[in-house]
Amino acid sequence: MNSPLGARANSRSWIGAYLIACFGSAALLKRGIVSGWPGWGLFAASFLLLIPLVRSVERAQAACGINSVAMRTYNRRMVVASFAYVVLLLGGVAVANYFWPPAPVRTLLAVAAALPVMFMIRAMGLLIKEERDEYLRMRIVEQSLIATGFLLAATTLYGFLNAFDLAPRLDAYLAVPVWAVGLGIGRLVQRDASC
Amino acid sequence: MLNNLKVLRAMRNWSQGDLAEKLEVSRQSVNAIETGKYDPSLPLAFRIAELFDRPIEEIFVAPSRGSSRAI
Repeated sequence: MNSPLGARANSRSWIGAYLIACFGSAALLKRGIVSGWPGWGLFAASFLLLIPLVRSVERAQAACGINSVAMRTYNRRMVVASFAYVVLLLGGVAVANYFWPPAPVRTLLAVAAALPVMFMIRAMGLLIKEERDEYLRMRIVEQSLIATGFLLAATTLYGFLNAFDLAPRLDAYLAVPVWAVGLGIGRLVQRDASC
Repeated sequence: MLNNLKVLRAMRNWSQGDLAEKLEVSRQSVNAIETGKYDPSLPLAFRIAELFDRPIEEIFVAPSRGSSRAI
């Protein structure tokens, strides 16, 4: 699939498959439908889809003429951070469940699980800094602003729904995936007819 | 901002990809500038002008001058 439309459709299929696998396995685990190690294994396996996903996204970007060095570096950083996240999260959960170490050790485990996510946020910042193409940089900044607006709006609305006992409490670390959804919305808003 | 980039490019028989390569920008950037969706920064506008060996005002039409100046 060398045409921009074909490459883009292919990358969207992989993005869809990854989101379904990742959020689906997390939901199965959270609700206890697939619990214990099979559930965690399923969650970890869903991250393997990142490899074909990133390849298909890079092919789509190349077909659209936007496959810059900074973007490729960003993709690589995100994949590395994602795999580090899986390893540190699963390792942390295993240690916490089986040994229930004292609070300082659990604090370290929590920080270790959060670090790769912080590395992803840093990768986004570095992408804006390292992207030499001013038009692409402007698009990334726009996407980030749309994502931030989406996150603020969604968390404000959800916070009040929770305050009025209409929605359950959610974990704060969900802010990052919600922001990532906002990035996707930003890309849709920017939709480029030439590509 | 209106511009004559597409015409100047066509006169040299360059594709958008060729122009993007010469300017060291993405093909999508060239497309966005040509279609008026994006106004380049002053340094990039100067690079474009130098590449085509023309003054900036012959390539980009000031918004105050309207659309009649575009080739």
